[in-house]
Amino acid sequence: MNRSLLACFLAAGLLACGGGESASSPGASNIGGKNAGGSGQGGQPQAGSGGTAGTGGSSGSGTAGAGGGGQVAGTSGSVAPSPLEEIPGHSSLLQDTSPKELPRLMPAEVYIRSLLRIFGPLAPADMQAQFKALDATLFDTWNDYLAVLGLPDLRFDVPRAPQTNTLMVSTFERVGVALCDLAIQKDLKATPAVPLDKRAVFAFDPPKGVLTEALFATRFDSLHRTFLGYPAKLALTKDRTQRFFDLYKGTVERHKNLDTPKKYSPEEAGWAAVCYGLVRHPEFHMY
Amino acid sequence: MFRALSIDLQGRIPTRDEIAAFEADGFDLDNWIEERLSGEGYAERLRRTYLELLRLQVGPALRFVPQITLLHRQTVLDEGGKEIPVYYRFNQRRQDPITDGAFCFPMGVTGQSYPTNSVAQGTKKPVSAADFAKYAVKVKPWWLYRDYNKATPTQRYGDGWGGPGSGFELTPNLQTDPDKSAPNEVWVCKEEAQAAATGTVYASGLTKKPAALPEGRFSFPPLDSSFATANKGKPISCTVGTALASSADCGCGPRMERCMPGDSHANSPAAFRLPSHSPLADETAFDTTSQAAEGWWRYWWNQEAVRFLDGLFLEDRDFREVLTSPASYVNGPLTQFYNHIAPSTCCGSGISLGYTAPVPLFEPAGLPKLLAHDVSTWKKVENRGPLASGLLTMPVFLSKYGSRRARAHVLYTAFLCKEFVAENLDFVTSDEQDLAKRPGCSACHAKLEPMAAYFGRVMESDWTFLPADKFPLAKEDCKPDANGQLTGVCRTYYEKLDASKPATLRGIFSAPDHADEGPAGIAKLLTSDPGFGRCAVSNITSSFLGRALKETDQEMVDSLTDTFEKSGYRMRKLVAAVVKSKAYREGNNLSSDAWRTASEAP
Repeated sequence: MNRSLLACFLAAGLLACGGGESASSPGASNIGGKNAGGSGQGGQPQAGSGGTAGTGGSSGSGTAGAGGGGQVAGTSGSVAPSPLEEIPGHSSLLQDTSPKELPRLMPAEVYIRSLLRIFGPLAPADMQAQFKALDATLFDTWNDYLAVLGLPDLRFDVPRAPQTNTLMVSTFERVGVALCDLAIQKDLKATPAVPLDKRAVFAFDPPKGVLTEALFATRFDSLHRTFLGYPAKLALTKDRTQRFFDLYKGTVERHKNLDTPKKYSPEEAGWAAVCYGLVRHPEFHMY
Repeated sequence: MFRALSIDLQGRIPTRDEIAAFEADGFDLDNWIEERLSGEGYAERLRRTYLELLRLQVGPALRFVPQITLLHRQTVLDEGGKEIPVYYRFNQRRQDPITDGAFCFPMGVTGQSYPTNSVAQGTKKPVSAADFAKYAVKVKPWWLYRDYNKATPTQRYGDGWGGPGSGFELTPNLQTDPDKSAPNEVWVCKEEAQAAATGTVYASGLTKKPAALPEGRFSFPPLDSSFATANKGKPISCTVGTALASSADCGCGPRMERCMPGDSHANSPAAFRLPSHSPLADETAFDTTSQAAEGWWRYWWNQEAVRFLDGLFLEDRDFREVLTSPASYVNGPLTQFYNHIAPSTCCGSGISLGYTAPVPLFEPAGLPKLLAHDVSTWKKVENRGPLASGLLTMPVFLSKYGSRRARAHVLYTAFLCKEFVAENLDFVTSDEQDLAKRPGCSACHAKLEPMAAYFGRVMESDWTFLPADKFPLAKEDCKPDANGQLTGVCRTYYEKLDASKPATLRGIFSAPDHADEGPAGIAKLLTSDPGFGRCAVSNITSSFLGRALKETDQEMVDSLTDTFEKSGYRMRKLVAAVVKSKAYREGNNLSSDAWRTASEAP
C-alpha cells in the first residue's frame, strides 16, 4: 500500500484521506475545466496531520488528545487510542471486537470490472474510445496507464503489484473522474431525460426546490452504495454524509460565482464533485 | 464483508440491487455464497492465483519459428507491371537446381535475387503469365476463406467474418495486394502449395559446397544431409520439421492449412492482430496490436492453460487433476497447432537415430474438427493420449520452463510450497560430475535431479517426446572422442558422467526410471505428497486473506486442509470454508450480521 494512503488508514481510520473527507477534496478539482479552488470544507481535520475525531483536533498541525495516553503534541506517528464509543460507527453497531486486518488493495481486474459495470455496462474498448473522445490529450497514453495498474505481466515474469504506487493511484483517479463526467452527461444532462431505472450512476433527480441535507442524504446513499458497496450510514466516519453535503454545497456556491463559461450547472458540478470524491475514496480502492 | 465476498467471488463490487437484496429479510448468505462458487468470477479468482504462482504465460522472449510451417512473401511484377505477392518458405527443397532451397522464381526471370531474411535485390522486370504458371499456383488459403474446407470456398475474409473484434484479424498486408486490391486467391510457390500428407526423401546429390556459385543462382544450393542421402526416395511425413530440408514434394497441405502466413520476407513476419491489453479477458480487450505469426501460437498456448484451469474450477474437479488430467480444451487455432504445427519440432538430428514419426504428447486423433480460424469455439478433449498430464505437457508450460530442472523447480514451489534452500553447506573440492552427489551441490540437487529426471524424455525448450525404442536410457555406442566428449547426435541427446558406464539420456542419471514414467510421474509424486493439499490450502487462503499466513493461522490451515482433502480436493469446499472462516471475517471488517442489524436500525 502506498505509504501516504496507508497513513490515512492508520492515522485517521479512513477519516480524512479520500473524497469529501479529505482536505484535498473534489471541491479542489478541476470541474468543467476550471479549478474551483479552495479546500473541500473548512475546519475539518487534515489528512495525516494527527487530528483525531472527537478530541477537538484543529486543522493544520493537529493534536493528540491529552487524555488518551497517546502521543505528545506536535509529534507525528501513532495515534492515541480512543474509547470504543468514540470510534465512528460503533455507537450504532453491534460491537465487533475482532482484531482487524489492514485493508488490502483491490485487484486491478476487480477495479476495472467494477468501473465498467458501474458506469455502463461498458466494454473496455468502448471505455477507451469514450475517454479519447472526452479528452484526447488526457488519455493520449491510455495504454501506458493500463500498464501501471498493478496487473502482472506473466510473459515477462513481472509480478502483480500488491502495493499502490503513485502512477496507479493517479490512473485510478483520472479514470474515475473521467467516468464521473461521462455519467453526468448521460444521466443528468441527457435530452430527453433518461428514466431513473436506466441511469448508471445518478439514479435520482435533483429536487425541484432546495436540496436539504435529508434530501441529499438519500441521494448520497445511492451513490455511496454504488461506489463503496455499502450504505452510507455504516461509514466508519459518522459524519460522512454531512461532509459530502458540505462538499456539494461548497462546490455549488463556487460555481455560482464563476465568471467563465461553465460545462456544468452549479448543481451538476456539485454532484460531479461528490462522484469524484467517491471514486477517489480509499474504500473504493481497497477492501 | 458482503462487499469483500462480492469482490472475491464475483470479481467486482456489489451493485445497488445486490446490496438491497442482501439487506432484505430472509437473505440467505450461505446460499448466495454457494451460488457464486459456480460462477466465472470465482473460477477467474482461482485461475489468477495459479497462473501467477506458475507465471504461466510465454512472451516474445520465446521464439517459435519453425521454418516448415512459416510462409514469407516476396513481390513479383506480372505482365502488366502490377506487384504480386508470392508466398514461399525459407530453405524449401526444389528439384530445379536453380531455385533449390531458395525463392521459387529464378533470378533470371524476375530480375531480382532473394537473400534469406533480406529485401530483394536488383531491378524487377515483368514476369510472363507462362512463367507465373510454371513456378507458382493460385490458392484460396485458410486465412482468407471461412469455408476453406469446401471444394469451392466463397466466404472471403471481411465478407461477414473476420476483422476487428472477431478475434481473427489479419494484418492489412495479408488482406490486400500492394495496390490495395483484395485478391480472391494468392500466389504460392508450387512446392509449398502441395497438399500430400506424406512425401518422399529428396536428395540432389550435392553433398559438398561447390567451388563457385552455380550459374543462375544468387546463393549456394543446399547440401543433402546424411539422412537424405541414405534414405532417398523413402517416404517421410510432411508435418515433421525434417521434411523441409529432406523433401521436395512436401508442401503446406490443403489450402495451406499446415502453414502460417507472413506478410514480408522477414525472418518472423507479421500476420495477425492480437489483444495487447486485456486484463479482464481476451474477448474484452482494450487494444490489439500486430503480432508476428509466431505470436499467434504463444497466444493460444496461453489461452489453453486459462481454459484448462477455468474448466477445472468451474466443474469443481479434483484439484490434483491440475497436474494429472488427460483432458484439455482446444479451439480452431489449437486444433491446427496440434494437428500440423506441433510435429514441426521433430525430429532434428534424432532422425539419424531413426526418429522420423513423432510421438505426440497430445494425440491428434482426439482433436475435434474445427477450422483453423475458428477462435471462438472451445471444445473439451477428454483424453489427450497416454503421455498427457495436466498442465505439465502443455506447450505453455514446457516452453515457459525450458529446462528439466526449471520444470521440476516451479512445480516443487507451487504445489508443495517448498523451496530449494541449501542448509549446512559443506563445500569441498570435488570432481564429482553428478550434482546430486557433489558435496555442497547435493544439498539441493539430491532432491531436484530425480524430480527433473521425470522430464528426461521431453526435449528441453520443446515438447518433442523421445520414445524409448529410439532413445534407450543407456546407449553403448555413444563413445567419447579423444577429448573425452560425446559428439554429434550422441552429444545432443546423451551425456556420459561416469567413464565406467555407458552414456545415458541427458538429465536422467540420478533416477533413470523416472524418465520412463514421464511428466505423469512427477504429477503422481507431487499429488501423493502429504504436503500437496496443505500447500493448495495455504495458497488459496493467503490469496483470499490478502496477506501471508502467520504462525497463528496454522490451526485454521490444519482445519481447512482436513476439509479440502476429505472433500476429494474440491476447491469449492475449500473456498466456501475460507470465506466463512473467522480469519476472513476479521480481515474484512464488519461482519454481515452487524451490517444487517445496523441497516434495520432507525
